[in-house]
Amino acid sequence: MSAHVMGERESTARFGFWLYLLSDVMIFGALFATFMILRGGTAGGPTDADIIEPFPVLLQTLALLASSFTVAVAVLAARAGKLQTMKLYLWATFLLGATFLGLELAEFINLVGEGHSWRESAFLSSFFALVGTHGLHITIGLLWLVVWLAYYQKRGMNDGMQRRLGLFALFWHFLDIIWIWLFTIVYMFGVGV
Amino acid sequence: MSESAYKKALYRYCGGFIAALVLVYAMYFTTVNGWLSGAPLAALLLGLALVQFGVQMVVFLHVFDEAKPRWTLWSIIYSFVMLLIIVLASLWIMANLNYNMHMTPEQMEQYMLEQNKKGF
Repeated sequence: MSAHVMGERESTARFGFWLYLLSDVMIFGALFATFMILRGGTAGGPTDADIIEPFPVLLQTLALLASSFTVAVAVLAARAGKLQTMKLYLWATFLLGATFLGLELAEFINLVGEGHSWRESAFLSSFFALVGTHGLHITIGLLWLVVWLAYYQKRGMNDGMQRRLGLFALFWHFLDIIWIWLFTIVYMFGVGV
Repeated sequence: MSESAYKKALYRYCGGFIAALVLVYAMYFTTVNGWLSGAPLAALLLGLALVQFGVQMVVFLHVFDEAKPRWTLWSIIYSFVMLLIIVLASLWIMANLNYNMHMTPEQMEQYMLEQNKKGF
């Protein structure tokens, strides 16, 4: 953050965390490539256009974009010492993330309920693997946020807490960016292209 | 952090969020209402997704706010080159699979059916 002078420890931690995120990019890259290759391999089952319901996906996207905004404001408020604002925006982030995850689970449960599980075709296997891996990251992010808030409740704010909140925000923005590509390549391409 | 620096950063995030919303709505309604389809739609969607990606990276992840020597930015650039090689080369190889195995598409189909009968 430009206005915030980072200590040596914080900037090192952030660089290390970026390297983790970039290795995660490679996992998602492999899953995206697999999905794009296998999306036509429906083995007589449903195609992408058959199973995608665009409206819930729009809601998911809006929830995640909004949560990316709220977590950015929370970090900013933490650095400005506005701890009440920070707490409010972190809970907003949590609720938006939980909404996203709920909609994704509903989509998965629907698909499996209609008999279209990952076992039906190569397309569905790669679909569940790609979307599910992102959903797993979101789940871990939500757990991280809750644990952070519990520590904050107990210990209040200090340099270490500030640093970990910054790393969480990096993780959360990163997941938002991965989702933009999922939204585009899996969902919008599936509906319209 | 001064109050004015706080306000300035807040406006920056609000601007980024509004831009992100506009881009998502543009992608969604163009696709769902069928205003475009096929290759033009694909090009538009990829273009808008790239702009969205840029907005998120610059506004929320502050990739250009780093002090020299910018280790993070260079790591990101290097990773994206690797990512493009993995994804595009995979697509390229798989699209030419029949040719690279010296088979016509029909022979490939036949071969795959025989392999499927053997089970996995």
